[in-house]
Order: sequence, then structure tokens, then C-alpha cells
Amino acid sequence: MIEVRGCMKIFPGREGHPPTRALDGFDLTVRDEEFVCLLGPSGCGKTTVLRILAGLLPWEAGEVLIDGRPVTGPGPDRAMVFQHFSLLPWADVEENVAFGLEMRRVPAAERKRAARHWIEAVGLAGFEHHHPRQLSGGMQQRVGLARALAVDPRILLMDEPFGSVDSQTRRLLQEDLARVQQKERKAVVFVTHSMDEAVRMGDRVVLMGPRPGRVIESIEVPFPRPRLPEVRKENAFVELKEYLWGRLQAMQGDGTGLKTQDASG
Amino acid sequence: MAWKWGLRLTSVITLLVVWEALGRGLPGLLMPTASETLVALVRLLGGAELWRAMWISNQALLVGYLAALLVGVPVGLVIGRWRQVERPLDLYLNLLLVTPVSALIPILIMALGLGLAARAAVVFVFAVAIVAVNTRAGLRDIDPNLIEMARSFGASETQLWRRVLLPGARPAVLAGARLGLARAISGMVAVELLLVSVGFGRLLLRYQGDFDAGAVYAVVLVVAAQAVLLTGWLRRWERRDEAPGLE
Repeated sequence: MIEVRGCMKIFPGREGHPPTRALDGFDLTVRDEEFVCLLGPSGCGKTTVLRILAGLLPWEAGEVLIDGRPVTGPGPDRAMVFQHFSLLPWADVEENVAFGLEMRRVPAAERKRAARHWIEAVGLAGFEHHHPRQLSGGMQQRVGLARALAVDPRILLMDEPFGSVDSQTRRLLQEDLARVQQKERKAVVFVTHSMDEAVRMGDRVVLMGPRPGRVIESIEVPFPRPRLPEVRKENAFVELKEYLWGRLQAMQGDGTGLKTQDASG
Repeated sequence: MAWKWGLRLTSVITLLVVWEALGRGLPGLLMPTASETLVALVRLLGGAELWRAMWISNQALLVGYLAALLVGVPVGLVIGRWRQVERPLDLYLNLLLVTPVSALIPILIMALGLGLAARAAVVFVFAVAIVAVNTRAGLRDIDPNLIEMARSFGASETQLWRRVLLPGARPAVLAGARLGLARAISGMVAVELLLVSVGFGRLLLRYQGDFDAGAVYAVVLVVAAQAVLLTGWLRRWERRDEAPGLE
């Protein structure tokens, strides 16, 4: 379980600019096996939350606990999937998927076995010895997902993972992730800009507002799992999307300014 | 491939023809013809003098250039990673980069004498800054997202170097080694021409004194050929890095 209470994060201002309060009074609880989508306008601190949970970023005040223990750095219970994939360009698919295991000093034979398993699980069998530049964006992110799953984390942190692929690929990746999640049952914190994606993927959508980043509203998504792709046609799905759009639009209207410098993603 | 070599051959032949024409057209000692140069080249390649000069010159190159790599690469890596170390060193690197290094040759000779040590030191000074600066640039250009990714999977500093920083900097390090070699060869010849008359430099000065223009040009050709061959050999290492598996 993830518990964040009253988290505050301040980025120092660069050369004459005032510091940015990226998060203030941020609260979030994520249960085991729960899929939570963080939705909000640019600059509301979504990615900052994720990087704090990953142990990559210190914060100024508040508590960040995982299973009751404070986060002090990256740990084997968490793995991250990155917006721009972050694959090693000089390593092939198999080495990339095994990267996390290698960092944990898992023996080579075992690494290879795990890598093969996860490469197959994300539908990349046959591409073990391809390099990232030989793969499409969608395939690269499958590698990123396999790399995260290979370390068998209890928590997956996903930073707009499907934000930089085309919309068809995005739908395919969403369905595949839903299928994987059905089997693996991780706790997932999933940052997205897309209302459709948030409602399709999340057990809960946490709506964030900017300046400073904070939780505006937490909405349970009423559809049971496993969810079929047809869920998108249901009225409740469309209505929830429209509701979220309304809330986001209101935020943009109240002078919070989407066009200002985005310090935290 | 064939047409590429055809183009190269055509360009060489054109150059030789123009050179020959100019050499014949211009009066006096200004310029040997291509054929005079080729004759001198064959004569030099057949004798011991050129090879002895090459051996003597290259001792300084070998020692000085290897030292430049052994110092330049680690310095570049350290200042690329830790800005606290960069701040005090940056000034000297910049000085070495922008100063006409030939101006330093008298200083080095005064300090180290006229022997191999002084010539190697000149080669070192010519090459070291460009090696260090390229290495630093290679490290700086590594996608910070990759470093963050590695940290998120719990990479130690050692693992980060082995799996991310060194492989990421490798192409720029090799490019720096190649640029450094070109500068090292300049240094090797410059010191021999300016102060310590041995090796290639001594041959050049002597043939110049003898008004043996063909031989002067032939020695220059040999030095150029050596530089092209060595840097070409290094470039092959760089190529090996590019596009692995892109058949």
C-alpha cells in the first residue's frame, strides 16, 4: 500500500526566478492491486508525484510511505515505466529487459530466463536481439513494460507510458496492459493526460490541479474487471469522460494557466 | 563501392595532372612537379633515411599520444560527471584549446631539454585538451532520462558507469581520440621543425636547405599518409559503434 500525506515539493527557481511549489498538501492512498490514474493539466505535478514515489526525488514536507515504511530511495518493490521509454540504445531487447535484474545482481542464466519470459509476455518473441532503434515506438514501450515487470515489483509507476505513440498503438497497448494487469495484479500509479485512458484503465481516477499540485477529486471508476474494450461504448463511460473534461476545462478557465512554464511535467 | 573508388581515383588523377602542369608552368624552385615528387618519394622509400626519421618521430608520437589518452580520457570523464571538479580545471583546458600550442614549445624545451621527453611532452600538450573536452561532451550528451532510469532500478555508481555512462560516452571518446591523434601528429612535426631538429622535421629542413623540392614534398606526403592511415584506422573503431545490427 502507498500512503502519501501532506507532501510538499518545492523546486528552487533558476537564476532569478522564484521557486515553484510543485506539490503542496498532496494526499494519495493506493491499495495493493489497485490501478490509480493521475489525471490533470500540464504542470500539476503528476510526474513529480511519480518520481517521489520512485525514490528519485526528495521532498520538503509530509510523509511518503510504502507498506508503512518511509521511502528513502529506489527499491525492489517498485519499478517505473518511462514516457520516453528510456531504453539503452546500445543494448538489444533482451539486455534491456534484463537491465533491472542485472542491477540487482541476479545471475546471468536466471536473467536470461526471466527476460525471455517477459519478452514473450508482452508480445515481442523473436525480437530478443533487435536494438531499440529497429523497433517502433509501441514495441519500444513494450520493452519498457517488460523491463519493469521482469523485476517483479509490487508497484508499477507509469509516467504517461503511452503518451508518445500514435492512437491506434495506444489502444493496443492499453488492452495489453489491462490483460497483463489482470494476471499480475500490481498496484499501479499511472500518469496520463487522456481522460479516455484514465477511465479505461483505472480503478480510480485521481484528478489533480496545478499551482500548487494537489488532489482535486478522487473518482471511483464503476466498471468491474476484467473490462472488455467494449466498455468504451457504455453510457457511464462516456459520461465519466465528459465529467472529467468539464472539471479539467474549469481548471483551465480559472487562471491557472496551461501556457506557463512547466517545471515538473 | 566500385563507383566510390572510381571517384576517388579520378580525383587523385586530376590533382596529379593539375599539379604536374603547375609545376612545369611555374618557374624556378617554387614547386616541384608531381613526377619529380614521385621520383623523390620512390628514392626515399628505397633508402634507410626516411624510415629512420619515421621511427624517431613516432617514438615521440607514441609516448606523447598514449599519455594524452591516459590523462585526457579520465580527466574528461571526471569533469563530465562532477562539476565541482570541472570548475577549477576548465580554465586550463580552455587555455590549452585556444592557445596556439606551438607557442608553448619553447617553454617545454627549456623545461625538459632537447630529448625524447620534451618532444613527447609537446605531442601530449597538442592532443590532451581535445581528448578531454570530447570525452566530457560525450558524457554530457548522455540522455539524462537513461541515468534516471538506471537509478530507478537501483543502479550503484559503479553499475551506472559500466552500463550507462561508459557505453554512452564511447563514440565521443573515440572521436576525441581521433581528433587528438591528428593534433598529436601536428605537434610531432611542429617541434621537429621549430626547435629539436630530428626525424621528419630534420629531413624537411635539410631537403629544403638542399633546394630538393621534390624530396620536401615527398616527406610531407609521407607524413600526411601516416596521419590519414592512423586516423582512418581509428575511424573504423567508431564505425563499429554505429547502428549495431542495422543490416
